[in-house]
Amino acid sequence: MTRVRILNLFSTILFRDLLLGVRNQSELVNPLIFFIMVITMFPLSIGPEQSALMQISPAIVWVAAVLASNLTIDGIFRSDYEDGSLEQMILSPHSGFTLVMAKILAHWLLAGVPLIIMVLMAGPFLYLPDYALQTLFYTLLLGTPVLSLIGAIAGGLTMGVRSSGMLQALLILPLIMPLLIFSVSAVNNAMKGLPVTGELYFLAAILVLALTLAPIAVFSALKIRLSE
Amino acid sequence: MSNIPEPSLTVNGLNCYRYDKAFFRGLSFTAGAGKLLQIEGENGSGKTTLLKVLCGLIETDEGEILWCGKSIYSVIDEYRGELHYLGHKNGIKAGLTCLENLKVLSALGNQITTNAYSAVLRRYGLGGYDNIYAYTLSAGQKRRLSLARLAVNQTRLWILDEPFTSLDEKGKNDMKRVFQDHLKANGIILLTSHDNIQWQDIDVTRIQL
Repeated sequence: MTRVRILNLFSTILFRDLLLGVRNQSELVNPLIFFIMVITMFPLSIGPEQSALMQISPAIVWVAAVLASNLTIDGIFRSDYEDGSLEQMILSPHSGFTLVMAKILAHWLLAGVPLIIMVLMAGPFLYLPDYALQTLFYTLLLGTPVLSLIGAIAGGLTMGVRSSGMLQALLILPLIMPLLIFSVSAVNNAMKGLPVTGELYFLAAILVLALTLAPIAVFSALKIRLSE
Repeated sequence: MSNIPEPSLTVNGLNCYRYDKAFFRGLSFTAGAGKLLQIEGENGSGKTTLLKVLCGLIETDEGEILWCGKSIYSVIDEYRGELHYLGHKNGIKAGLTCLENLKVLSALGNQITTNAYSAVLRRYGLGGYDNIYAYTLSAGQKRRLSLARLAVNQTRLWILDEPFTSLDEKGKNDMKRVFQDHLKANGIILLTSHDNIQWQDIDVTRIQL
């Protein structure tokens, strides 16, 4: 019985967040537009030479993805905090892990997945060869959930704080440096035709680490913020 | 039903200091089955804080809170399954319809007593609002929607912070009937309100902060 209830709760919260996300389209689309703007600025400013762009395009894509995902962090918990829904969720007799995971998964589906699709579409403009694009796809697939998980920690800690954007960036960016380093180096290696499994394993390990530890940190952060 | 102990909430010597200020000291009271307690106090006297402490949002280290004789922190999950807390904020999502809001709130709780959400909405004066977005509701209607969760999950302890805010006379009378039913079913209600509650057939115990 409890298992059924927990599954029901997980799917209810997930569906609720997806519904709210789809209904509030500007929040969904704005980070994507930002992402496209950043990416297009590079060919315009550096010039459309293939060799120059090819060299920096993995870094451009990843930096733009990190910045775009930073824009969405604020939305994970803020509105729930402001209208009191979060209070009700924390007071639920069911485990906080379920709630937090449902919210993070919803965030990834709304912010991470569209970003991945966008990159696949933008790849040819950046002269990325097929194999490198494929690797870029894998790094984003493993990396964007980490952005959501670590972002949720920062979002939880800073909800209710006014103009929290800078604080969030300060909390998140140091934690995701390894992600950036391994991802970009994987794509660079792929362009040189070198094997990339090592980097991808590291990214997978980071994902597993974040998946197991971040929800605990998020739930504690929410409890602390709500007891004020 | 005989093996379920009668609900009781006991507070023993509760102290609360927040932001270097003492809100209440040595607070003790017991709320037994079928009792309605009204917590009174001036603005800023710590009523909301007390309610948050009682539902476990704020942990206290001085004094004890017992549910059926056990510290609430040792049985926190069961305790929360027995509890409805309604704060200043309604806990309603503006971007969801009334029906969707109720469904989410009911999934958060333990014992789902009814799936007849439309009937519940009707009983709380929101008949016909099933598919209306919550942001179009008036303040009083939002409060009603928030209170409607009391009917969806069955819990024995209700902790309500200013439940009558923005309710009209009819709304207050509706709530009186809901409270009566709950007390008859051996429930406990703790509420704060600036209204002087004088209801003939409900016995109100007052606690002064």
